[in-house]
Amino acid sequence: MLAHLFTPRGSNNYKAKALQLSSLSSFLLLIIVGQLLITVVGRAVPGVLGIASSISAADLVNLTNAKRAELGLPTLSVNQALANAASLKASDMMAKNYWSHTSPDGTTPWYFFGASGYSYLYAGENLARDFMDSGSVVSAWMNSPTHKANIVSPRYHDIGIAVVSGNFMGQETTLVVQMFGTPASAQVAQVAVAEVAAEETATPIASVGAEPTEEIATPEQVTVALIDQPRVAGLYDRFPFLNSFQLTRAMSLSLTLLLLALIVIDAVVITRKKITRLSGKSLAHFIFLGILLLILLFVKQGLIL
Amino acid sequence: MRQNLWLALILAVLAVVYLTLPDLRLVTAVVIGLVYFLYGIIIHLTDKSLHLLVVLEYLFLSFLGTAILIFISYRA
Repeated sequence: MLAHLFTPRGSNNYKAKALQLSSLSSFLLLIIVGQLLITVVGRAVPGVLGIASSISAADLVNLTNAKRAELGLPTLSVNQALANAASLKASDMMAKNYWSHTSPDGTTPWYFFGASGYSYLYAGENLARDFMDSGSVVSAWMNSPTHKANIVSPRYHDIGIAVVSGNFMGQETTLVVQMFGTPASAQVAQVAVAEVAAEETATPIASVGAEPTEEIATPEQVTVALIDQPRVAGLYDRFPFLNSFQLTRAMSLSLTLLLLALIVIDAVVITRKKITRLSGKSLAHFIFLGILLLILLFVKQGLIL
Repeated sequence: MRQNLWLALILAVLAVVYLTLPDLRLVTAVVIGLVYFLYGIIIHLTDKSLHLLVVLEYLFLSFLGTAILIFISYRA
């Protein structure tokens, strides 16, 4: 039975049963049904499938400031209003289920700065989701030129971070919103020190991680920025029992390895027995599945925006 | 043999794109499957060994690979 399934022989027309079209279609069906199950179970039974992380806002602030210190830049001060803005943005993303700097109804990140009472001269936003730890988040941002530009920008004075766990886009995960800012009041101080003409007007500038272009926004109000302790916002305390990414990867790796092994066995037996048959090229299949295996081994969890 | 090297090279480049540019993962997953399928068709056409069973074999394997890549990018 096993030989019939896994090796080419007369009983399977000299092609392992597991490599025949009927088996390949079954594997395809198995993968699709498995993913549907993961999605359905993830939504129907919260806390079973998802991504558990050890990310904390305090670690993210420390790591961000460490990167700045390496470049000789001043460290950023944790600002409660910015942390509130980040928390509002994260809650909005969770509630409206969107993964973007701008919400489906057109709300930009700068709205949340105003809503939390942070009147800015400069503002920026980095987003991350599905990461396992704080170091991975900051590494991913530092590997992206536009996100890195926010982290190491000398024009920012303040930082606020929200780390929110919950059911986001169909699975339990952790969402990170990192907001940078320089309060509008800083302009007044700069002007006073430099003794620049009093008529010079300040133009607030805002930038988001994925978009290198700058947007101009008009400040709605001027407030005094309050500096406070880092804020860690956790809307949900539950941690998923199974990691949906790891589960999907394990299933995919198992299937890919099985097919690779079968193709090697098939090629060896066919070559040794000098059998001629109607079939695809074993070496091409091997290359395709080998590349697939490499991708599965090296793919990393987590997205930034 | 030479054609296989080209296939390996093209797929390796696409794999790097897939791994380094998360925004392009869905497109890259489809392109990887398409490149492999078209490669199979062209190679067997030039060999004059193209039959429905061979086409289906490449089609199913490319579907399987593309589905795996799409699902893993969705979960990552």
